[in-house]
Amino acid sequence: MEDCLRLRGRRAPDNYGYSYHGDYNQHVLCGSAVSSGQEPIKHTTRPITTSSTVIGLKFNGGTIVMSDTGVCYGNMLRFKSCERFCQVGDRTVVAASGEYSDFQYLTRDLKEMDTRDWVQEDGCSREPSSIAAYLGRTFYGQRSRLDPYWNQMIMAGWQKTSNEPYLGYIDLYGTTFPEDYIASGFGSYLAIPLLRKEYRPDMTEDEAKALLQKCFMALFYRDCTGLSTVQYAVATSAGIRLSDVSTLTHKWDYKLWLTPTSQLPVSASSW
Amino acid sequence: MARRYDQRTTTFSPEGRLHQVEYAIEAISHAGSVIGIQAKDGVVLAGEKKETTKLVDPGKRGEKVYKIDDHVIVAVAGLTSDANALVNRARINAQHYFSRYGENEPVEQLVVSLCDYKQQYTQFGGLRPFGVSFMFAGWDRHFGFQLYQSDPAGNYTGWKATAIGNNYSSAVPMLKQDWKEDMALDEAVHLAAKVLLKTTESSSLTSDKCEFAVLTVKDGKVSHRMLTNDEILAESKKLEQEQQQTTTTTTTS
Repeated sequence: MEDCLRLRGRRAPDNYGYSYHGDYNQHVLCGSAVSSGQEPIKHTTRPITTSSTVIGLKFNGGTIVMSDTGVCYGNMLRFKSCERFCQVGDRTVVAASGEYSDFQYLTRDLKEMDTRDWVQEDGCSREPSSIAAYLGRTFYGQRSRLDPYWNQMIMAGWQKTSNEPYLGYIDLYGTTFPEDYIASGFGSYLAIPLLRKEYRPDMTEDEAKALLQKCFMALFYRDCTGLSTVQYAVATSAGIRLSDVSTLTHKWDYKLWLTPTSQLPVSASSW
Repeated sequence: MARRYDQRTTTFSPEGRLHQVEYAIEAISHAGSVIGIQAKDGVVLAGEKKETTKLVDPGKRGEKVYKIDDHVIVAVAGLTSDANALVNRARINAQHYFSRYGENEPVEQLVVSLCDYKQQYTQFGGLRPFGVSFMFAGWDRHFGFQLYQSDPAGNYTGWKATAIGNNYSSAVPMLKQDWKEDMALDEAVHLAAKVLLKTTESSSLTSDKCEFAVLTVKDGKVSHRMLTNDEILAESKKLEQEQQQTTTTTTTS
């Protein structure tokens, strides 16, 4: 079992449903096919502990990316104060939705990439676009083994070569691209229309933050896996700044909701 | 005495020397010379071609200067077959980095990875070292224009100007005297031609005897090219004129 852990760097073989003593190469090539009399290879087919939306957008002088602090266990909102950000190097931060354990592993993998760079001792520093390419290749390689890291990552950073903010999206298929504003999870349905209407590339940081809070308010009301406690990270030429957790104010005291129907005029309804 | 300790690469002699590595380095000092000069706006590599009989059909490929990637070129001195094996390795290394990180590999990292590979042949396996020295010319966003030289032992050094191969010991003092901090690329090319003329011990430089390559940055993009036959002839003519001037001045005084 220890050998297998070292080999894959992740979970024990029991979860995979194959015997380590079989032919490893066979396993990699056949994916989920049966190979030479062994058990069929069963990888994780669905994420278990998941986090929902992340939204990122570029403003004038930086990039801001915001997420809530919840991790769900199926339909149950089980963990309410999880940090979903990981800083890599001095000017890149990545936020994750999807399987939280894969995010935790990738945090380690990114830190190892950072260490390999540091060990070079050559004064070179890595751009966010380069880290995004690396992550994208990692995701693509894993998906090609039909065993994906089940995440959508939003990466914010500061590009030194072009002296401008960077915002990128990397997902479980290995799709990688930069954008001006992007959302994952439910946000891609609820928040993107709002962003399309109100996004301007010359927004200030405060305006950008307010727009994101507006998006997360909508998500808290409508996404049952959404929380009102949010956290955000800002990437500028000065580096990365991770905020404290804050709670969005939400409104539930609509008169029509609170008043019992019996006390309302006959014609009124609660809608 | 050395005979007893020079058969295996992985054995030290009692004097603390690795004879096979030294013999490899010795092989290179008989190869066609290579001059490398770093200017403020580019790097030039100049190499002497050894095979100069007219029966040789050169085709498209040169024998001295090779492209590793868009931002790195290399000139070789030594066994061409060994050079080809290592150049292929360097090319794959550069593409692997580009595929993984979406940007060009820093030049020094490429040199280091090739040198680490060469070093293995001096310590493990009992195989002979590679009989080739390299002169790398490259540009990256971290350190701009760079010139590196590496030898069969796996050592590498960064240079402002240097020479390897035949007569390099007479080339280096010339470079030391004439290299200037703010040299422009065309001055560097001229100096490389002058030094190459000295190391090849020939009366003139013709395009069938040498290869020149320059690496520059234009509009933020790195590019490199071989100098054309006409350009080499032009440099050759300039050198002839300079030589004539010096001879006339000596005779008049």
